[in-house]
Amino acid sequence: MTIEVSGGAGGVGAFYQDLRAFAGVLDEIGDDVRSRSDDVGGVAIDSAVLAAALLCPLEVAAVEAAAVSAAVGPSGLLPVSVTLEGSALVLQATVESYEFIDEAQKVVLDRLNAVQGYLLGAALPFLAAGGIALVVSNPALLALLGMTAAQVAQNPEAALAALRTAIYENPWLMEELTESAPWLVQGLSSTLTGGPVLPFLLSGGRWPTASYEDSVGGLVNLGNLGGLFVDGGEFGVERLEGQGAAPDGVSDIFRVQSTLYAEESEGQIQITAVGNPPSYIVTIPGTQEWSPDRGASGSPMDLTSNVQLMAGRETLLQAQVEEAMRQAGIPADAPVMLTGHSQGGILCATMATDSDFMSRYNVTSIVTGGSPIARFDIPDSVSVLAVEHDQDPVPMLEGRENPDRANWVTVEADATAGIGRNPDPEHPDAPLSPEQAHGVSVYADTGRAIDSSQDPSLVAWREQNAHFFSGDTSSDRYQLNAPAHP
Amino acid sequence: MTALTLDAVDGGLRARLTEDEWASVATAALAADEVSALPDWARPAAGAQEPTEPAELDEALAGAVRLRRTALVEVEVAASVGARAVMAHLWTDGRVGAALVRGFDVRAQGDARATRRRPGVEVSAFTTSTLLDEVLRLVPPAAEPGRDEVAEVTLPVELTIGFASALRRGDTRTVAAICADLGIEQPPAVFESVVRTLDGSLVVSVRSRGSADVSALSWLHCDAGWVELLPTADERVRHVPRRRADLERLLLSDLTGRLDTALRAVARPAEEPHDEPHDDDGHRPTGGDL
Repeated sequence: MTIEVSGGAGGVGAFYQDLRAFAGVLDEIGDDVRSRSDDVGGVAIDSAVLAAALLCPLEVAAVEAAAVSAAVGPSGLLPVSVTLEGSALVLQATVESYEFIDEAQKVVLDRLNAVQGYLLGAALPFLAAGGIALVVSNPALLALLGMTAAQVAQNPEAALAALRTAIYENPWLMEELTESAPWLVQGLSSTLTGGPVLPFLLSGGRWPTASYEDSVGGLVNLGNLGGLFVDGGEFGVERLEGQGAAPDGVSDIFRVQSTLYAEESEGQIQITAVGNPPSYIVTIPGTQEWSPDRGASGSPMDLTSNVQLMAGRETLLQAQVEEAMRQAGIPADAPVMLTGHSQGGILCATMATDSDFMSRYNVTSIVTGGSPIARFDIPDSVSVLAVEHDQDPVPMLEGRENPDRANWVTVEADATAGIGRNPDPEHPDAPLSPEQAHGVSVYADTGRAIDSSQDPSLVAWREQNAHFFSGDTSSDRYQLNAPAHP
Repeated sequence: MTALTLDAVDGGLRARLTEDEWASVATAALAADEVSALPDWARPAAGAQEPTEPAELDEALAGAVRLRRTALVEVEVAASVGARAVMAHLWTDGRVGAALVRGFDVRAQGDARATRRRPGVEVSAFTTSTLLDEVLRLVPPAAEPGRDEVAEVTLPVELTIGFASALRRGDTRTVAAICADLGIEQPPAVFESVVRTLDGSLVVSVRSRGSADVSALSWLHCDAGWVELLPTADERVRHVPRRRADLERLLLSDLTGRLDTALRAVARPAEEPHDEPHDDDGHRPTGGDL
């Protein structure tokens, strides 16, 4: 039999009480030392000492100096008392901080526990086919879908579709499916009375945020509850020597990107050295699957760490790419081409506008596909080739036209005009859908047209960047590992 | 009944609906369970008049209200500054976008702030290319001091609350002791500003198909402008002054990643990763295989 005990002599409250008592002791000692300091300092002005000065002035002067030094000198009693009293105050402030954060957590949990189902969201994420097994084994879900286990087994696709709809409408079901802790933060569904869930949590249970303290309490507790994606931390970048093929043009840049999307390449980037002295091509794929995960399972789909701070992720990814570049031994003056598809292209643009990064590396060229980078103030010294499909909604996200400048070439292509092939074998000539038009392999097809184009801007771009595509090459992959949880 | 339509307002197609009109539109455009699945703030108020006759509903308006059904990406915004607040959901299916927005009045109530929702909602329709601007439109303005005027500062979690309360109650001994402990001469400007003058916050969160996680951004509004608190792995809290351009950059990057992931989830398995780089024109020397 296991029992749960809270409070009492071993509880957190008693611990804080002990800390406060200890702070009080420190403060009292500080007062005592200060009082002794007065006594010792008083020696210098004691009447007997002053009288003795008439008889032996040199010796008395030495005594006075020693007394003053012992009382208020750098290592004297007064500074010690100040340090002790300061430590007491800092300790009290520490206890106050932790008590507040604990109290904020209690407020949040009490309110969440009052909501039936604790339903924190996750309306949109779709389940993989493995969800069917959960349906079959879960009577509550079967009842919700109005299907028997046999019916589910007979028509799993219909069951999955129904399940997706059910989850969309009843996000708390994610708890059933993930067997998560009841307070697991999974999303944003906002049926919590009084406001939306995430702002509620981030403000320590009091939205709109009324104080700094509430906000800190909310952040810390959200991290404790759901594994908030913290900013920074130890991470690993592992070199996978000799893996990867070298791109020899724009089409190949996107083909290499494509291979980085493969399951076995998840979380990898590639760095290719070309020629002697070498130029370098850094290939960064897009988006979530390659972003490092903080969860215990190491799976990017781990639901226990599914609230991520945008700023933390960006900082981390940039640091990891730069670490890979450092491991590749890229000299500060070697020409570097950054290439990225989708969010990988955004990271390229972010790095090119980071003056600290640019002071360490000589980025001369960027190639992006399906990336909205118009809002980035990329230096004129960097050659930009931005490829965008008319049917691809992702590069449209910026709501801006790319700048028209000598060193920035934008290629806009109609993905239905014979460039992309529709992967549907029954309708090979059908227009590409947005999801198809964003595909990196279709960008590779467009790249082939770019590689052979006689457009003056593209001819000039090829001449300017020829050194990235001629000469002997060596390519290495780098595995970006998840940082360790604190 | 007057026809309810989307009209060109403030750079988008919008319908500003009274509570009764919203009840009418929601009832006509959505199934009952869809209405009840709306966030609490977005549901028609309990006292709203049920329509006595079916609403004459513009198809575009109905489409905007129904877009959540097919959305690939959903953005939630909760912003407050002073006496006003706003909550919004924005959706895009990759082609078009829609938004549902409600305003709130905020007033102090003890040591907290209470909200009262303003009657009526705004429904908007827009192209995906203006999704980012639609989010930015909801972000209250803030001061933007220079980077050198208000610098980022990182503090240990265990001192944050105590330091803040000592500052606020004018406990100079404790403030001096904490500054000495931190090795600084005086409280950092960004910290002092956010502790003394905080009057609002901004939470933007994004979720999408194909991904189980939620991206979040949480900023505080004070005299120093927007300030983001970021917990670090070693139990400290970064206080980072932010500008509107930072929000643009962070949100654009996140939306890009999410739309990419969602599109690939939709496309799978139609679009499989390509084979290795082809060698139609001769394979280049390489150090290894893919």
